[in-house]
Order: sequence, then structure tokens, then C-alpha cells
Amino acid sequence: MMKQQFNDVTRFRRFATIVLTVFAVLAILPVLLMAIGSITDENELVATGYTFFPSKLSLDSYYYMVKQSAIILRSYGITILVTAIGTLTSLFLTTTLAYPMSRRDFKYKNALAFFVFFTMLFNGGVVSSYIM
Amino acid sequence: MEKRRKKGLAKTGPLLLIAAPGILYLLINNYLPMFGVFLAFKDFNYFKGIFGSDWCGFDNFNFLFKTRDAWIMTRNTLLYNAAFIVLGTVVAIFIAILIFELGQKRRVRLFQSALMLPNLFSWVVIGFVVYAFLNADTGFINNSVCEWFGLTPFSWYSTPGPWPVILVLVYLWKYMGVSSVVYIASIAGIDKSVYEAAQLDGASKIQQILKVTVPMLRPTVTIMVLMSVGRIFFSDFGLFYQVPQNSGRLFDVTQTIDTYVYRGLMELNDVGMSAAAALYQSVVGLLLVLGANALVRKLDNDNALF
Repeated sequence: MMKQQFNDVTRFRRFATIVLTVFAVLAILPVLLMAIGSITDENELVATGYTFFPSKLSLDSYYYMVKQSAIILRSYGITILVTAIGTLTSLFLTTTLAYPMSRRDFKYKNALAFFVFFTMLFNGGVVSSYIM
Repeated sequence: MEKRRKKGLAKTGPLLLIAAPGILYLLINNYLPMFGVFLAFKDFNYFKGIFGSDWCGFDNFNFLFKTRDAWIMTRNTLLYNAAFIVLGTVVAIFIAILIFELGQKRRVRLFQSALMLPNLFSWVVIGFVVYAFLNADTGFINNSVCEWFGLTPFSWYSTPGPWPVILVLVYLWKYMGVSSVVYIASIAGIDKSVYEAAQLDGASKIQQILKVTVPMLRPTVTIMVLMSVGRIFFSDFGLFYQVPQNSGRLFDVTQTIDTYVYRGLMELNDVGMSAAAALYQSVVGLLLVLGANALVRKLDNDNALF
């Protein structure tokens, strides 16, 4: 009895491992193809296309990136700046909005909650935000 | 009593002051653009401005619904989202059960990281990954896979036929790891004694999964599905714009409401029609959220959003 149950569990575990390995490989392969494509020689790429086993490697695209490093670093700087300032500002705005809403003795508690919630339900859409 | 009321009112001012920055932000960022809704009813002219432009009643909507576009984009948005909800949930639960049954911590972490990897990339990058596979001249499928099986190369970016399948696969590929996390958490929350009881009754592992795990997941599934039903009129813009590389031949199967609005605005410069489509999406979306919420409240009051 005990032994049979043990077998059952191991068998299922083996099945889970195999299926998940397939899924994991499928998840990683496209990224791998992209990574290998990035170190494939340019002419080779045009001639034979993207492949997992290129016959000629080159780091040209990375040299190009280093040459353009000013732009890339700047873009990263902007990304990091936007994330940092965005997080801080949104933390500030959400906490200051949430505190009065959490106070039971605040007169406009429900009005404020509706004011905030309505923006989640309805918005002007891309067009009006763009024009504004 | 009198004193308490006075005290309560005295607090209103400072509390309003605390909320002021947030209120101001919402007014400018969320409420001001709502006036843009008027654009849907106007014959927009850049020189006359939003409020100066002439009213045209429902002309924009008439134009929109007369073309095939309105039908195509609504159909695509709804069908893709339906496929995402059904297949996404099934795949996520399947993976969650398998990962949970692994038992070994190291393996769990390994597989979870591998499956979450695609979610780290933005749609722009994924658009290029797909391009590396499907590109007519240098793509992996045309160059390698077709050669192995002796098939003729195929011009993927100008044939609409396979795209529904491709887009669904790309969606599942990106989200399968992340969406399974919720289900792993709720499987972990199931009482172990239920499994022990099932084991004593002689249930096999598969029976335990089908008769215990899956039914126990029902509340989580209900909530997740209803939340996505509320968003069924909104599509993942990047998936439908970046992944098909904005190829015009594929519009029949890749156009969703979001891409239509964007293209109308950026490429055709048809402000009125875009605004009409966006308003159509906002209003139907709002009704769907309210409907989904009413349904949740009926089924399971604790999980209703409002």
C-alpha cells in the first residue's frame, strides 16, 4: 500500500519534471536565438539567416554599441530617472490620498473614494490625452 | 455630542490639505482629458481647437460603424481576449500544478525562473524575437525549419491565416510563468489534511489533483476570469502593434480597438473617428466592468471590487 503510493508520487514527479523541462526550453530558446543572433557575423546572418549554430561569430554589433555608448547611457539614465522620480512621486501621491480616505471621521471620505475610483473605471482615451 | 462634531469638522481642513496634491494630480491627469470625449462629437479642426470646432452630432460614429473596421476590430479584440482568458487560465493552472508537485525547492526555483524569463522583455523586444523566427529572408523558420522538413519558405508577414495562432502562442509564451504564480500561491494555501484524507481513501496522485486541487482553485479562477472579463474590450497594445511589425496585410486579423485608435490618430490623423472609437471602447468597457462586478457580487460577495 505504502509502496504503491510512493511509486505514484515519484512517477508524477518525473512526469512534471519532463513536461516542465519542455516548457522551460520553449521559454528560453527564442531568447537564446536572439542572443546568438547578436554575436553572429552580419554577412553570415544575411546569407543563412538566424540559426542556433552560426559558422562565423563577430562582436561587431557590440563594438557598435560601445561606440554609441553616449546615447545608450543617456537612454538608461532617462529610464532610471523616470522610474526613480515616478516611484517617489506616486508613493507620495497615493499615500497622501489614502490617509484621509482611511480616516473614519473625514467628512468627504466617500466623495474622495469615488473621485479616485472613477478614474479607474472611465478615461478619456488615448486621443484626448494626446490632444491635451 | 456638539463638541465631537465640532472636532470632526475641524479636521476636515487639514485632511483635505493632505489629499490636495493627489486630487490636483488626478484632476489634471485623469479628469481634464475626459473633456476630450467631446471630440467624438465634433468635426475637429486644429486651428479652431477642441471647443471651437463645429459640432457634428453622431457623424463620427456613423462613419465608424459604416466601415468594416468597427466590426473587425471589435471581433478581434473580443475573440483574442476570450482565447487569452481561456487558454491563459488553463496553461497557468497546468503549470502551477506541475511546479507545485515537483517538491524540490531547487527545481521549483529553476523552472519558475525559466518560465518567467520571457516576461522580462518588453513587446518591442519580443517583436524582434518573433521577427528573428518569421522574417521571410533570414528568419529561423524559413531558413532552418522549412529546410529540415523540406517545406517551401513562407511569407509570414503578408499572410493573415496563421496570425491568430501566432499571437496566442506569443501571448502564452510571455505570460505563462507570471500568471501561474497566483495559482501556485492558492494551491499552497490548500489544507494538507484534505490530501491526507484523499490518500487514505486510496486516491491516486492524478485523482487527488482532479478531485481536490482543481475544485479548490475555483474561487481564484472565478476572480481572475471576471477581472479579465472586465478588461475584455481593451487589448494589449504592444502585442498587436509591435509583434506583427505594423504590417498592413495583416490588419484583418491583428487590428484591435487600441491599435485602430492609435493608427487613426498617428497615421491617418483622423481625430474625430479615433475619438469616437476610443469613446466606444471606454463606455462599453465601463459597462463590462460594472457587469462583471455585479456578477462577482452575486457569486461571491467578499471578492467584489465595489
